[in-house]
Amino acid sequence: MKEDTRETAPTWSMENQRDSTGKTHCVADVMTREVVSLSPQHNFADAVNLIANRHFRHFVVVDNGRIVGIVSDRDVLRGLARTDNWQKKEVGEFMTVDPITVKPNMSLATAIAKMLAKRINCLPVIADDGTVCGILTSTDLLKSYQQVLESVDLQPR
Amino acid sequence: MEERIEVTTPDQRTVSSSPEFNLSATRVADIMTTNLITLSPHHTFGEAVQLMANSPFRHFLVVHADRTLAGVFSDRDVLRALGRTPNWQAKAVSGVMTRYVVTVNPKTPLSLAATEMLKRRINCLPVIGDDQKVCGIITSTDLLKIYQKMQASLEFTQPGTAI
Repeated sequence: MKEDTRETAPTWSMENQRDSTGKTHCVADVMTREVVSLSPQHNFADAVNLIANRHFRHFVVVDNGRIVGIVSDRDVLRGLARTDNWQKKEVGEFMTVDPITVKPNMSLATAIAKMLAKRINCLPVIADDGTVCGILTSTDLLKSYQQVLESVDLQPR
Repeated sequence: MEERIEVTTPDQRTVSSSPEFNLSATRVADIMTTNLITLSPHHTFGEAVQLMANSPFRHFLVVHADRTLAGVFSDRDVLRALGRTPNWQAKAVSGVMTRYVVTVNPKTPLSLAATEMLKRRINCLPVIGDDQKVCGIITSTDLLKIYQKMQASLEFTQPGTAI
């Protein structure tokens, strides 16, 4: 890992953290728009396989176009620790019902605060018409933060 | 098993520099967590899963008796092992943990730590001091905490000023 020899603490640039109208970033700016969903009738093994073989940890559970729950890798883990015949359980039995959701225009500060306070890593993003338009995960936010940090690193001093 | 699992309570596991949280924190040492829950390589998989299920953390450092790093045991390791291991409860942590771990130094810039996490799709980097002993852990949650403070202060300041 490359050694950083910088002596003075940098100041954050505010300019690239705002859009042309001076507004700070909102959820829609950094969320993931491609969402993988399961139905409540999928079984536990489907969920385990998806999480083990794909690069993400959260699925939304959708019934008739509306979000009814969310399954995270933690839900799967808890299910495994507690349940004997876990393979036969349905997603609807171990999902988190009524998950905490956010609107696309919510500020990043508020969304991150929600995530940290609830110790969750994923917030489904629900449009005004009630449909899922994306999910905001801690990875999306980490990417955004990393871009900020890199812009600071690149600033002339 | 004579080695016991060291447990710290969640509220002890706070960001080391809070509450005077430095918005311009730039190095791992500024925000790393130093109160750690560690496992020994000899704990069983079943013990580790129970510990994880009953704690808010997803990553446990596996540490030798001399405090050097043996590996990292994460919830992803658990899921992967469960998918393919019969009789998993009896396995030792050392057989399931991630052995080849990317580590950082307290002086590593945060931008590099974040880049490593994203590139390798991990959420935790053990922090190893110059004496090769474990001195902390930095997780994606630690990074989100400081990012949140930065975004919040942005909302309350005028465009064009520096924090």
